[in-house]
Amino acid sequence: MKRLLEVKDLTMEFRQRSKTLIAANHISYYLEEGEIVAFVGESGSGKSVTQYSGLQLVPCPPGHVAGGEIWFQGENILSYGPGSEKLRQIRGGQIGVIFQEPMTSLNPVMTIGKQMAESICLHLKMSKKEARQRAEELLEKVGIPDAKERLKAYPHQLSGGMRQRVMIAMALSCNPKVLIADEATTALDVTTQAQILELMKNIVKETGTTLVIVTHNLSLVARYADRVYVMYAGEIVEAGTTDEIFYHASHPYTIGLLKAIPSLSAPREQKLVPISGNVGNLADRGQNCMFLPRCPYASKECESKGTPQPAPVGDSDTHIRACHRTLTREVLEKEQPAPQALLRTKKQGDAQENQVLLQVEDLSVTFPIYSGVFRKKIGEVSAVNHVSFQLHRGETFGLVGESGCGKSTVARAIMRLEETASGKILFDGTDITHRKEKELYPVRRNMAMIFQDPYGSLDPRQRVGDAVMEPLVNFKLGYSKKELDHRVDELFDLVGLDGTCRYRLPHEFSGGQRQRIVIARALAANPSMIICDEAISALDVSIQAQVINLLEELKERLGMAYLFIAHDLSVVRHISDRIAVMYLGQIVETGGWKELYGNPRHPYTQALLDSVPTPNPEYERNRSAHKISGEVPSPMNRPDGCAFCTRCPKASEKCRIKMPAMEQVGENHQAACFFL
Amino acid sequence: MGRYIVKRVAQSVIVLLIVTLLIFLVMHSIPGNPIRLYLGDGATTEQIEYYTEVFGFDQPVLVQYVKWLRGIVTGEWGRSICFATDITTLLPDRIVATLSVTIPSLVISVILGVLLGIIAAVKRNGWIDSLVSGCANIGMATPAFWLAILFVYILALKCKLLPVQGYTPLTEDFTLGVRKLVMPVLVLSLGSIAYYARQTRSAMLEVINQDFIRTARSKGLKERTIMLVHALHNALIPLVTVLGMSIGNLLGGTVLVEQVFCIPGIGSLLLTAILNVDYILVQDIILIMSLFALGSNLIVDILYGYIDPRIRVK
Repeated sequence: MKRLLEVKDLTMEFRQRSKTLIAANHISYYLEEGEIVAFVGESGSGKSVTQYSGLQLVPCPPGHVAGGEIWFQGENILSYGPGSEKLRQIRGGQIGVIFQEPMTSLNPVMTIGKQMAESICLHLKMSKKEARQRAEELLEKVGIPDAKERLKAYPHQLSGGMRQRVMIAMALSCNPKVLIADEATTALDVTTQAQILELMKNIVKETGTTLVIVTHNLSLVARYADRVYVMYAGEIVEAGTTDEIFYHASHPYTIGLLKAIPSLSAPREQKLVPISGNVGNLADRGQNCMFLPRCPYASKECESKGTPQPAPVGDSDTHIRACHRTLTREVLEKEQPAPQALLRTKKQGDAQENQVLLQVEDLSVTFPIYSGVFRKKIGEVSAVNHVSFQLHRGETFGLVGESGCGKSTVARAIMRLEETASGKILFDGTDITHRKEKELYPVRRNMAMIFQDPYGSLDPRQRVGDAVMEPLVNFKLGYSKKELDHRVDELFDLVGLDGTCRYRLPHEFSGGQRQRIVIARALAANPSMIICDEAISALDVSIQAQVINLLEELKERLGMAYLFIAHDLSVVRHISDRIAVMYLGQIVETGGWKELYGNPRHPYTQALLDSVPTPNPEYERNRSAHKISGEVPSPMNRPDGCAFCTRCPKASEKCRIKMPAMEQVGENHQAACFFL
Repeated sequence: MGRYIVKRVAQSVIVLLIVTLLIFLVMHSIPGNPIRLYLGDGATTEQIEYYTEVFGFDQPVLVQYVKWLRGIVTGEWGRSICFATDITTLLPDRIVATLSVTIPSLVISVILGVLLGIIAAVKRNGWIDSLVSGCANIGMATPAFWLAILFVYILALKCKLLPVQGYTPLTEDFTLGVRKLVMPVLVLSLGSIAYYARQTRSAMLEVINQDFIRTARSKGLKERTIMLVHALHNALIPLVTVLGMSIGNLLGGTVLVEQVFCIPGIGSLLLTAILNVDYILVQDIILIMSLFALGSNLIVDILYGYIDPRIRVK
């Protein structure tokens, strides 16, 4: 195959007031015609910057290409002036980009049709009418029903998945040679993500376009990519065919990444193997390998030999790696840190375990819809619909489902941050459903919550020590000043942070460290239950494993119960004892982790599990395309009968009329479906 | 849309009633008797009683208010005491005088301000941006009366380019009228040009950093198209709010300039009316100003719908 695009020795800098950050450090790679190439790395690894630099989409200043060449169709596109005619022909005309955030990447005040026609008119020199015609065809191609009508729609009238389809159609509209999908599916639900990736794959294979998938999720690319580049701290540390990367990974970082991901098949008794520490400072690279401080295989020579250069692995002409050591299989097996066993002392059936801590009975939460001048209530959307479950002491109960399924609303209702429409919430035997705030106060100290965004959940102007101290003071636990200080130190120590950093402000910490601080705050008043609402989904894979391990350790030591809410099924499987799957405000299946993952009974659970990507190219390739289609309907027009009937492959007439009730399908395992 | 407008008009009427009632009560609680002020110290008790009865000031305040309301609806806007004429003959000329200063000033400041703001935002951190932002800060910090005195000194007294002060209706003598308007319009504009430039700059900057601008660049559009079509359209949304407030101020915001340049506008009329406790005149002027403000708010809200489709749906 011919090399379509070749990047040589690209260096990209961000010049800041006092320092220069090197976001891409001497990067070389190539793309061949018609192949699917993945760039994998955690946030800050420079994967997006690398892709954008050729198109000069990196804001400049502060971004600045410090060296290198990008050859595309016989010309060095870095030599084109900013905003030049030639550059603009490449942008959109030759190389199309699909961005991460479908919510913000489309102009909110322009119709879809107009936004699509814009580039078609420009690059294909079509008239407005022809352009609209083409836009309509493209929308049909990316699976948008009612394409003609949709052209007149504004972005906010479409769902996230639909908008991302529009973005794909737009990027494809001028027959580009290369399509760059920058975290294009990250913001989407698993089932939608699978649909979109499948769609992109089919289209590029059909048209012979080269597809670049930029992602932080290594397992995602196993099914789709031909070749993979792994990036760390602005450098390509390993590259090779998908099989080479997944089966013969030889850079410590790649190996670490593969191990840090909780998978659907790994033994649950082992701790995850996180990559310790954080990404080094990009402004101060030093002379050595950037991964050295985090590397479990580091040796003496790594400290003296400077930055490693990419070199071929064995006699493969695709597999390269930047590491001083030759990590053959034997070396890896000999030196690999032994996986630590998780102490799960409390077996099921323990006396304490069977004590119910939280009981949710028939819980419904509705949100009113207002309209008119006097904000008259004209209706209700039900976000949570007759949900019942129990949380035992010392247990982890997982609540999974796609966005909008009401899992966070359940959590908020339990914390009494949302009013309950009907049903009952019993915490430790007391009915707290409609308790007055004043009477609720003593109960509150026994529940705490950890939120998704570690950046938004700490007051930016409050010292982190004070944030952790707040619950202690708030609940008047009778600590003296000295005891308070002592307790804060203890809490910092518990979550693995140095007590001396308590006087710092949140912005001085990394995402993972902030989440530790939030956990310390949640632990402060010794609660018997902690609700983790997507507590780890905003973190990088290597950090995520650190935090999961921390949560498990803490539970082991302190014995509280977790209500663990997440959309990532592998993580939930790893951490939870029992799990409930939610769809459109209802629990459709619930059971112990073994039963639920081993023998899923509800079609939705099956579809969800089916959509989870696995880091196993062989298995992924032989797996048939995902069965589930469509999107979660809006709770405003919930289907009659079973909520899942609009997307269910098994749905029959009966499902569309009547809602199936929860049925016992095994010991400790229930599901709500007519076809069990 | 029709239903929405009807609703908004109904709301506006309620607001108008509340505003005028409040003004009525406040005016009547101010010490001072308009009849006494008008007749002067030599007036006899009989004269004062007679005129008090003629104007209906002997009746309870609420009855007076209702009477005034009835008058507004039927077109009887009442008589001014201190000018001794019908208010309906007094107002139109005054309004025209004020608007002939404020409308040109608004047009100039919107066009120039928005233009400068766009340039500053597009060339942000360059020398043009520094210049525009610097001038905008100076422009906003300069008091209008000081600027007026400075202009009069330089343009009228030293260079003898323009008349010092005064007002001639444009229909009477167009050239003289325009010459007399130049300075007041300039004085009134400089501050608001600066204001519009700053608002536009920050609105544009906010938009320029958004993801969809990057999308537009990735499509290969010209930078000019991106700025004028994609960015400006979004930046207009906050600007319309500012514009609405300016339109509402077209009648009320010029008291100072009218005083300095001796323009017989509605602002100076209101001042005179308040000083003479001329109840009905104050009431009528406030009514007109409120009508203007409410009307401009309504127009802005309708404009929003056209600019921002996300609002239109509701």
